[in-house]
Amino acid sequence: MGRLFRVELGRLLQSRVMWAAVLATLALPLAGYGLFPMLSWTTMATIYLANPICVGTLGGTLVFAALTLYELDRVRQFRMEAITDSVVSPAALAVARLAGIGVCALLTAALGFALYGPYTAWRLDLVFSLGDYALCWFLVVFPGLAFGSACAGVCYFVVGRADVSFLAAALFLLVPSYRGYTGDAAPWWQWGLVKLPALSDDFGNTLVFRIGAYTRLIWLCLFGGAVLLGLLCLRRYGKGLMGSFLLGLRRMWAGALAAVCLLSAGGLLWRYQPFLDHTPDNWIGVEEVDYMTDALQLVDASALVDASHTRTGIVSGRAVYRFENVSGEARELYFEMNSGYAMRSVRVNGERVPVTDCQEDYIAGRYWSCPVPAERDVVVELEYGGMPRLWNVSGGMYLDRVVSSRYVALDRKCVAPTPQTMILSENTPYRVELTLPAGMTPVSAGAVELLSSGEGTCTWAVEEKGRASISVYAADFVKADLEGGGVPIEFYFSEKHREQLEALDAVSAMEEAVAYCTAHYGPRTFDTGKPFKILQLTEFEFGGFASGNISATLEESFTTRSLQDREKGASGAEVLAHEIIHQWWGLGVMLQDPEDPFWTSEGMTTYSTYRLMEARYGEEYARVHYLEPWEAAVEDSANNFYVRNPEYLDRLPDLYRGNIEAAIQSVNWYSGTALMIKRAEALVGGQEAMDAILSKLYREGGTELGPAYVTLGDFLTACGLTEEAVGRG
Amino acid sequence: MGKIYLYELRRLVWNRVFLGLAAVVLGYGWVTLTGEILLGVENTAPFSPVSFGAYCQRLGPVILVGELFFLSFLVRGRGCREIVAATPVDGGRLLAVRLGAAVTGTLLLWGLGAGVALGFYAAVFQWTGFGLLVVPWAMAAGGWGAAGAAIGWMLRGMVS
Repeated sequence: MGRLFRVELGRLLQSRVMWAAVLATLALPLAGYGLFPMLSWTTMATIYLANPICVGTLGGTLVFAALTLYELDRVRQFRMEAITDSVVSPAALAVARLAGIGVCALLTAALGFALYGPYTAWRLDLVFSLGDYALCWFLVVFPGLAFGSACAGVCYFVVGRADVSFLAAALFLLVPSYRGYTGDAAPWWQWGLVKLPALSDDFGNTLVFRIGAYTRLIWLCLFGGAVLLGLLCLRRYGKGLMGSFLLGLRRMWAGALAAVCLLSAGGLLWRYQPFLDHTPDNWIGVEEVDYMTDALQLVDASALVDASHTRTGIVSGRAVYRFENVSGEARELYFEMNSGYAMRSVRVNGERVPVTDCQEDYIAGRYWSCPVPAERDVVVELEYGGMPRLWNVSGGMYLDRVVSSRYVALDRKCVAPTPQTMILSENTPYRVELTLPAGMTPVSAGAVELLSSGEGTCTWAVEEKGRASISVYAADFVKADLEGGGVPIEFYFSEKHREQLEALDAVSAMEEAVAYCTAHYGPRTFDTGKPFKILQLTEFEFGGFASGNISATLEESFTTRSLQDREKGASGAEVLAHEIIHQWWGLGVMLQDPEDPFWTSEGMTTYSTYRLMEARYGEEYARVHYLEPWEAAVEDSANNFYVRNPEYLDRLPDLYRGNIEAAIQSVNWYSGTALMIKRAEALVGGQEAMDAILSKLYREGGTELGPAYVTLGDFLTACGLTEEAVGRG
Repeated sequence: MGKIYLYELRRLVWNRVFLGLAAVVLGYGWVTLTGEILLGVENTAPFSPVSFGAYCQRLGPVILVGELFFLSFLVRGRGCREIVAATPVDGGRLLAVRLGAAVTGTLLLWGLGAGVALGFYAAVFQWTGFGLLVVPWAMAAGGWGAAGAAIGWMLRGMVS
């Protein structure tokens, strides 16, 4: 067999067709630089590495499938089966050919790695990572080519025709890839091109490659089993498919057994994947159970959390919570934590108690419960741990919970279990001692202090008050202190951009947003020791966020390309401004109306961002990049078939209805409400009059739901308008 | 000639290739329906003539492959030409019958694709106004059919 393999490999390396396939595969990434950019995100690594790799892998998979079919069909084409079958076993020959083409695929990846390396390193400059670059070629490209060859081979063994096999392999490749890039499919379907939503410049891509490697392992097992079963179908002695299969089964029963084992292994890996949770498909319609109880009040909380296991991505922790049981009765106490974690042990007042897993995943969270006694003072000690899971609906697109050597992102469900109880007071302490890899600086809404440094790790104290949970983000952050609106502002960004940001306009854009909102609406007030923190985060966070005294935006907002491109409209620095403005609309005062689900902070923030950009760039710019896209989006949504005929939406299965509803809601949250406020501005007498109204609402709040909220009714009352007048309802 | 037509039709459709193509058309049609078409094309209903026409256009390239496969049968078997020429069958009529069988096979694939959509509309939306969809179906089938014929004519020399 070894000798046969060497002969086949030597023949392939001298084949013009093989080298034509290699050259075609190596040329395909060029189309990804501009002709067919598959990914829309705009980090440098996405533009100059991920896009070419995606195009090269997809195209190369088809090229190697065609090459495999050409090589396998040559014998039949020249009617030489009778001679070759009498000299060597057709199965052995097929295996030798597939293995030889596999080596050629590896050679192709190696040549591509060497060929594109210098240009990629030059374009990415400071953010080039040799490790990520190598993984792109040897984890993404090479297995894609090899699996394309295997898939075509399996089809050919079964069908016996090269043309149909190519069509089948192409459809099997393209359909999951298409669904994957619309976010519809789980990552494991993408056997040709693994899930590659983007590549981060500054914070590593560990989770992308972990999921990619896991996907490759699944398909290695599945294709391995399929190839072995396919070999059983090779036509012998003039028999048809079934006859040849049964003959092959008798002669190669060990291969069949191995095939079953491999296919089973692939199936088990697929079924018990550790990366995505099990939120129901109809998650929008699911009514979340409220486990909160006011019978227990949190007195203080502390946790020791180890997030330094960057190779496995596993977090482990021990949390201690003290409660007051004011009900005088035994209760069931619920905690929420990430779906990937398990509660290892629970002690209540020193006694070990049983813990129940509620097994209801919802947006990467899961509830656990334990009994607590009727005693007034209750101390609960929890040991927990696991690898954070992602929300399955995101389909592996937004990889925003991770422990890696370059980035740690742990949201409130990932640091420690969150008790579903009341909090005794706004001064209730919560302290986390968090162990991180050395060289990382954590950022949280609370105070952060370095406690100790060890071998390759550092332990930090993160302290909060009046909260039952903490989120932490850690990377090679550098801190800059900004001026704006009289509020202390800390800006955290990746060390890589230190020189770049000093030369860009990014800092002034942030200061302008803070100054604008302070001047037009009023100052944001924060507790002493809780400055306003602006954070640059990985591309894999969903559009940035505002939470507590933290505003976060994605790293693409800070690339030179993004910040200096005035034609991009509402993106880059303007997304950053939008997130900062959420400190006023969303955190300073919450916009919410139980009778109007589309009245949210997003609409007011979008309107305020438009006003800021109009002041900065002029009326024409604001009209082209804000008003006109809003009008187009609202008109398109109003014409949507399901909006005009909601009875048909009700007839859809849950799986399809959820996605359509989410898209309709999004347009109304952002563009629809912003346009409504713009119409109100014209009716109340212009921008100054609207600013006065909004300032009053921000400072005093609303009356319908209390001062912390502003409803649509509060807004319309302040404007002296009706829903009909502003085109709402 | 009827017997020859039925024989040619059976030869085209009663084989693994056609069954495989049919499975591909059914699978690809389902994926397209539950993805892009379900949202409604140009804000029309998923079962509107516009949406159904877009669906048929998406099936076009797949069915084109089947049509080319069928047309390849017209030029296969060069080694038998002398034998066929020696029979009393008129060459032109034989070609027309075989072409008719290829067209029928192609229309069967188009029918399968349309059938998936019609079944989807009836099951999910309880909509059965299928008469409105005949024109877009015919336009897609005719357009792609003509394209397939043109491509097949250009490539006729490549198939032995």
